[in-house]
Amino acid sequence: MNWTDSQISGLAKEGENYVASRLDLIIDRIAINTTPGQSEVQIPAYVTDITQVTYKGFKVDPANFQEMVNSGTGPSSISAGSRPLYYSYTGFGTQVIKFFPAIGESLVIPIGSLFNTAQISTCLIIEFYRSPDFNSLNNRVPAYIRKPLIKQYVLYRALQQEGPGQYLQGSDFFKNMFDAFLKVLKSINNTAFMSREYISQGSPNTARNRPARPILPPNYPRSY
Amino acid sequence: MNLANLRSNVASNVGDPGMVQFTADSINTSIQEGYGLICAATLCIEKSQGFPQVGGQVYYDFAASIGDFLCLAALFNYNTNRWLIPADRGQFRDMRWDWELQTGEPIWFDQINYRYTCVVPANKDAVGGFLVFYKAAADILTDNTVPSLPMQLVKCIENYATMDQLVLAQEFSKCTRYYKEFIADIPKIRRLALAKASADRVNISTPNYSPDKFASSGAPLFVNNETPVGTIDGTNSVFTLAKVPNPTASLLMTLNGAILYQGIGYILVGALVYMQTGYVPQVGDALRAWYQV
Repeated sequence: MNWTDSQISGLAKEGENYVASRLDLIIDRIAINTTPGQSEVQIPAYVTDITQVTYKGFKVDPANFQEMVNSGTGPSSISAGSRPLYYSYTGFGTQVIKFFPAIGESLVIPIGSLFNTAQISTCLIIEFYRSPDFNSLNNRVPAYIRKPLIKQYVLYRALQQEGPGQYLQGSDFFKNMFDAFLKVLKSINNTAFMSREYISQGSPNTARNRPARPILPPNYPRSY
Repeated sequence: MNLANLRSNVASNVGDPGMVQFTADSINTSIQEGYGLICAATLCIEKSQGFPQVGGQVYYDFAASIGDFLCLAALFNYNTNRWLIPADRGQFRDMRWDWELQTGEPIWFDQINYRYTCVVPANKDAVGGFLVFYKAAADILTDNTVPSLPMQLVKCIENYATMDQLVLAQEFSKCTRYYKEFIADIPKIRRLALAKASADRVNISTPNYSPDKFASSGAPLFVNNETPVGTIDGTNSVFTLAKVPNPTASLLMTLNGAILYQGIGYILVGALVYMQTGYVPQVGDALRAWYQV
């Protein structure tokens, strides 16, 4: 046998990781235990990019290291009892988020869904794109494309390996197939999940709909 | 063309009509795989389903509850009898920085990835529900079922399955032809699905498009600066328009010159305008309406 089951399943995981890292597919959330004065949070290795950070439901704005330096805010800036206003994902180490000002209170990881106001309002939540969780049913590349896509990747990589099973022409063929299917998935990912567009109607006009922000007259609100 | 026909065609394509080398099960698997991929790439199957609202839930994971859910097309709020407005999550952040804590009847939604859809504001209580219009994944084919694709493009499934079978036989140069046809067909199916959805559609964004927007003179009929009928006394919240706005989205209401948004400042039912709490006109206020009929 040229390839063992574990080699093939290893290649399948490698392929799924590759796809997830290329396309920003899987969104997940974690809550973090905090203590007063804490300014750094270590985030897990499976986080590939941060999409949103909220502190008790309030958005914490991203800022890069250079902005921090230019703002004159020291890395140890602490505002006791306050909530952080900014976070930086660069300049303080790999997989480390630095908060400015530092976190001012103790928050604990809540029980229950991190997608509900009850939990969102009580804790520090980091939302991010992640690599697949192979032990979970949900945090994976979507099922409708996983098999045809990963199959091409496994064949491309397996036939490329040195040894008796090497077949470079076949490997090139599957590489092309994989690239084409990846393009299909990219197209789905870029269009299907944009609720700004009514895809069934093909109308681009709704893309510019904004939530209502009425311009109120000077006599509003009324005072009697 | 049903699964049995497709299987027979694929078997002929690969030169094994008796399905000896290429078994029926193997061909069925390839057909199902191709069908799933095509449905995902073209979003050609549409379905709807009721879904309960969960108290305080900002993000709904429809994919976890609706087995064949691919992506969202639209959301209808049964509690308000209104469609939710599609928006971008960045706009919610611009609106208020604690937007995830906002509660009330859901007005906007944004699907942020293949699983999660945020609705804003979150319903505080677990009351009522949504009607979820969604694009569905491929159904499981049996010998007698016909794929839910435009008839003339079912060939695309055949191409995928033939390609997949030829790969098993390591016939790379032969399967390249089917592979190219398969990839080329996907945008065609998508265009066809869009055309089908839009075939008899009235484009409400261009009022002159539809003939029934024209009066006998040939001109579109607009009502400008109308004062709705109703007592302005600070308590009356129901006002009547002279005609029924068509489309309903054409109605522009102002209170003392400030634009009111449908669903927030007022709710329109036929020709009746129900002013919402906080927007009921007080004595001396000016309420005006512009709309098409």
